[in-house]
Amino acid sequence: MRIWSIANQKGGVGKTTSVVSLGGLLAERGARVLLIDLDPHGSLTSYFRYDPDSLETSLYDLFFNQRCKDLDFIHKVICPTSRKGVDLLPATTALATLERQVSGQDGMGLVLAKTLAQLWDDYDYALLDTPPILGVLLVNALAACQRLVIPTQTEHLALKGLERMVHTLKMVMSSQNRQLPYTIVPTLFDRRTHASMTTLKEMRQLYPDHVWQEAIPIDTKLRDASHEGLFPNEMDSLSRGVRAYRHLLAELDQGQEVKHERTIAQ
Amino acid sequence: MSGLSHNNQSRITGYLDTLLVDHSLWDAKLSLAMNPPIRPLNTIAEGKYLLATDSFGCGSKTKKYIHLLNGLSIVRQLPASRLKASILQSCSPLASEAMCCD
Repeated sequence: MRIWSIANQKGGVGKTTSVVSLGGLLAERGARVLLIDLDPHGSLTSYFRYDPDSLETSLYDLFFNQRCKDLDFIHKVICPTSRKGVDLLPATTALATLERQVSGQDGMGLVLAKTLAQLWDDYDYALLDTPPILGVLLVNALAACQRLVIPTQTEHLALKGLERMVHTLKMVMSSQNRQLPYTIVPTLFDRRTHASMTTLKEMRQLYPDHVWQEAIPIDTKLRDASHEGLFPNEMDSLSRGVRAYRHLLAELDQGQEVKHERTIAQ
Repeated sequence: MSGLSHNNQSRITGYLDTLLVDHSLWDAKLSLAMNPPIRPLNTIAEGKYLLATDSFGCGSKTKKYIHLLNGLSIVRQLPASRLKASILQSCSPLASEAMCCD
């Protein structure tokens, strides 16, 4: 299994869109994909027409009573999506209370890693959609993944969120004593605007080795797909946004990832 | 762009270290963190106390020792007091500085 976190400590930068787009493209190749919603807002869960307010079980339940090691229970939590081969580990709004309940407890940052260890042979990829704040859920995602993708809106305020995200990543790597490769993905790019152009330039100056050489453009087709609850490549496989994500996937797939043994997660 | 202040840095580091403690690796971590003789997990004797402050650095030896002490829940065994409440409030969530003494 390959595990990628899609994260940024700023909201509205295209995290959920990136997770769904990459997931749909992976499924197109025949890969078995698990999408995981770690955001209490439940945007990814809502995308697939599940209601984060009314679901009986979710990722939340795996944080208690060692359920993260109970494969039967984990399978009960996982939901199908509109596409065969792509499943969803959903969020419920109860996740918002998790910080209060577990953050002082040792080892609570490793729950997702243990869960994925149980599912190691069931999926080829796991894509993690994370909340935009540093907390137990984001730490779980960073601790479990082998690669970090940081979508960053091409506007000036997004650079601060990017700086925080990279700093958090470095602290997690230090705490875990391992290296985690990361790719910064410029998103919502509009080459007609001065702000997009200057921010992209600045991003590349600040993180020359980590910014993807292309950018995800603003594309209303991505929004339309969300409205219909479809994967963007099902909606329009040749749209500008989908083509950009296809290029991104090719880039990510070539990347060298840290070896993350299943046994470590267990 | 400005970096994190020292206080923010050490608080976040303590927070991360608490969340990312892997209990199954404790023995190995302790072996690395402490010089011999290694204190086994069960040898914190009755009558010893855990003192904690809410500011400390993030040296690896201290951190790993703290995780051991927190894991043993010694603080929670102390009689109710303002000191205990203060330790639980400031130390437990942040894995703050701690030392074991007679």
